Order: sequence, then structure tokens, then C-alpha cells
Amino acid sequence: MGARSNKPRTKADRLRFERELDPTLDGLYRTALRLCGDPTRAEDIVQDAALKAWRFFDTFEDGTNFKAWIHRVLYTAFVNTTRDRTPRTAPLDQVPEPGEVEKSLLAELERPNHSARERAVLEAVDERIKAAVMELPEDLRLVFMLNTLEGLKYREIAAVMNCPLGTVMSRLFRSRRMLQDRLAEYAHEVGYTVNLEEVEP
Amino acid sequence: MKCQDLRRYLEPWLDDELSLETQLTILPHLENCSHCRALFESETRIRSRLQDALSAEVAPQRLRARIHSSLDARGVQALEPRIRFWPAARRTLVVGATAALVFFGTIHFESARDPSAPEASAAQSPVIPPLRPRKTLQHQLETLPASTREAPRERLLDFLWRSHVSDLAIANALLGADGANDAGLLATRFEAHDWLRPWIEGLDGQDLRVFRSNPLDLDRLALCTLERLTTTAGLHFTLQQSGETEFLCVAAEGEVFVVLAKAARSLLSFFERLEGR
Repeated sequence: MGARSNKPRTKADRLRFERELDPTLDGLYRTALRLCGDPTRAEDIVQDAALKAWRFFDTFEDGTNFKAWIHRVLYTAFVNTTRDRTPRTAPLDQVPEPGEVEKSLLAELERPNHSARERAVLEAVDERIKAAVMELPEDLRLVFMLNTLEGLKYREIAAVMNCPLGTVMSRLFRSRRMLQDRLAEYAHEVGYTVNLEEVEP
Repeated sequence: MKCQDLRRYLEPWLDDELSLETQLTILPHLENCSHCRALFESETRIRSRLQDALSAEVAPQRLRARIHSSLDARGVQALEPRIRFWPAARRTLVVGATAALVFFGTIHFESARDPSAPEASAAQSPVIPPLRPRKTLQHQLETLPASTREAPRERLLDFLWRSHVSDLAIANALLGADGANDAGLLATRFEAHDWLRPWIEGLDGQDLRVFRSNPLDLDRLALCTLERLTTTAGLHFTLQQSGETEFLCVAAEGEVFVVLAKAARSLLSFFERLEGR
């Protein structure tokens, strides 16, 4: 984000900004909530992001995806408020390169446990799913939310997180598999019969 | 395409990250391979379940109020009362526009219109701002290889039915297919999809919002229709966009027709007449 914009704002600007902002607020709040885990703090982050976005609204290019743009503002706001906190991101050396991602994805999909994973996810209660998402490392959690909930494209997520496209793909892949593994563990704990090594018919 | 290829593409495909051309190479395999289809459906169900669980939370009303009052305090004051009604006014405008057939040039559907359909009042006072072409879609369609253009439309429609976008498939059938076959197709599907009956019965009152809201599905829609039109009537089918609204357009006999969803039945009749010549 560049220097503070001093361009005067008109009522038309404000109207346009609100028209863009309002439909994204639920998604911004959900993303912030999943990032910080605290509803009150999530509200503060969203408000901060909205005001920053208004300040720099003249840098938003018409015809581009406002949702992606403001999520980038939101992520910056979140990072700024957590500078003094211990980072909860996954070490980058654990993130495979794109070539490895394809191989592992293929291997994963070919493992004979897919139906078991599906049952585990379908049987999990909402609160447990939310908890499993919160257990993901922060960067995996964010990429998962931006893709699955907000529908952002890979390149848009890469812009939000300021990382390469291949990193987005690998994080997305890992987040889904980790989530399904954790829900399978949960299903097993509460008594569902979910054997991840079972063979499909 | 082999199972291994499809699985490599599965997640990017569900993320809408594949080109139209690649998607069309996947469809035939998916139709013929029960194992890959089961995997596809399983992945779809997992995603749907996760979305349901995580999308329930919404921004509290107090947060919205806080943001708006903070914006008021930062330069531009609160919106004037008449502008506050903008969302409702815009809705009215859109509904009004959607309730009519809007054409550039002459309206050719008059004789083909369903007699039970309401009159198109908005046609007399156009409210649609200038259109701009969706270049990416046109480019995609123009660069499709010949073999892809010739993909059987029924295969695409059937795929749509099985990929949890049934409403799109129905609309596709009505918009892009030949009448007799698709009436039969819909009747068959009705038996297994009772929950869709209200949607079908209310179809006259539907607009194109489903298509407008998802460019990928617009692509699919256009593609299904394109296949038929280019092979049977020699027409060129495109999509254009104005603001938030997208339109199906077809060029015929030197004129461009802009067609909204409510025109679906008339459009179908129009195509049938055209092909009957």
C-alpha cells in the first residue's frame, strides 16, 4: 500500500465505496474471525481494514476484484496488529514446491481412504469443523478461507498474501488434507468408525 | 484422458482454475469413469459441508454501524436520504429491466412469444447502459479447437445435471437445446428431482441472476448454446456485460439481439423457427 492518498472524496466516491464494501463485510468478518479467533478483535480488524480501504480507495482499479483487494487490506491490517505476537505460520520449508504438490496430490487422491475422509467431514458438527480450521497454521487457514469461503482465485490469493502462485496451491492442498485428517481423528474419537486405511469397494 | 490426468486436474477444476478447453477434455472421461465420478462427487460434498459449517457467521449489525459512522467522520458526510434508498431503487431497476425482453434494434420475438407471458413493458424505455464485450470469453470461444466445438451437447447437459448445478442445467436445456428432446429430458429429471419442481414452475418469473453471478457458468451456458447454434444455424453467440448485469447476445441477419432470461422460451421458439427455415 502506498502513501496516504490525499485525493478529495466526493459523495459519489462514498456511494461507490459502500456499494463495493457492503457485500464483502460478512466475508471479511469471517476471515478476520478465523485469523484471530476472537469476535471482538475480528470486528476491530474489519473496521480498521474498511477505513484503510476508504483512505486508499482511489488506488483500487475499476473492473478488478474489490473483494480480493480489500482482503489484502484486511490481511495487512491483521498482520500489523499482530506484529509483536509470535508468528503462527507454517515454516516455508515445509511447503512443497508446485511439482511436489502435484505428485502428493495425485498420491493423496489415489490413497484408498477417500470415502472415509468424506464420512468424517460429513459427520463432524459445525463447531468441530470451525475448531479444526482454527488448528491449521495461520497461512494455511487464510488460504483455505479465501478459496473455499470467499471464492478468490489462486492469483488473487497470491496477491492478498504477497506470495507466489505455487505457494498458494501447495498451501491450499495442505490445508484441505490437514483439515480432513483432523476431522477424521475427531470422528474416530467420538465413536464413528473411520478407518483411514480402509479399502474402498 | 486417463484417471491419473483427471485426478491431477480435480482440485484446480473444482476451484474454477482450469481453462474452458481443459474442462472440456475432462468431461468425457468423467462421464465414462465411475471411480473418478465418485471421487468428484465426494470432493464436492466435502466442500459443500465445509462451506455450510463456516459460512453461518455474519458481520454483526453493530460492526456495520460502526464502520459507516467512522466513514462519516472521515471526510464525506452521511449520504443524503434519497441516496440511501439506492439499493432498493437499484433492485427495482434491475427487476424492471429483467422483467422485459430488451433488444438492440428490432424485436423479432413478437410472433414467437408465449401468449401467457406478461407484456414486456420496459422495452419501451431502455434503461440498459452501453455494453462492453467480455473479451476473455470471446477469446476462449474463438480459440477452441474444432474437436471441442463438436462435443455433444447432451453430454455437457448431462454432466451439468450430475455436478450439482441442476438449475443451470435446466436453464441450459431451455435455452440451448432443441425443444422436443429437452422437454423429454426435463420430464425425466423431474421424477428424480421433486424439489426442483417449484423452480421449474416458476421459471417464467426467473431472471438470469444465476448465470450473471457466475462467469464460469455463463461460459458453460454459452458453450452449450454455441455448439448448437454454430452447427445448426450458423449463428455467433456471445456474452456482454453492463455493470453488474450480463447479457446473452446472438447476432443474426445483421442484427444483435440481447436476451434476458425471461426470454428463454421465446428464444427457444426463435431458434426453432430459424432452424425450420
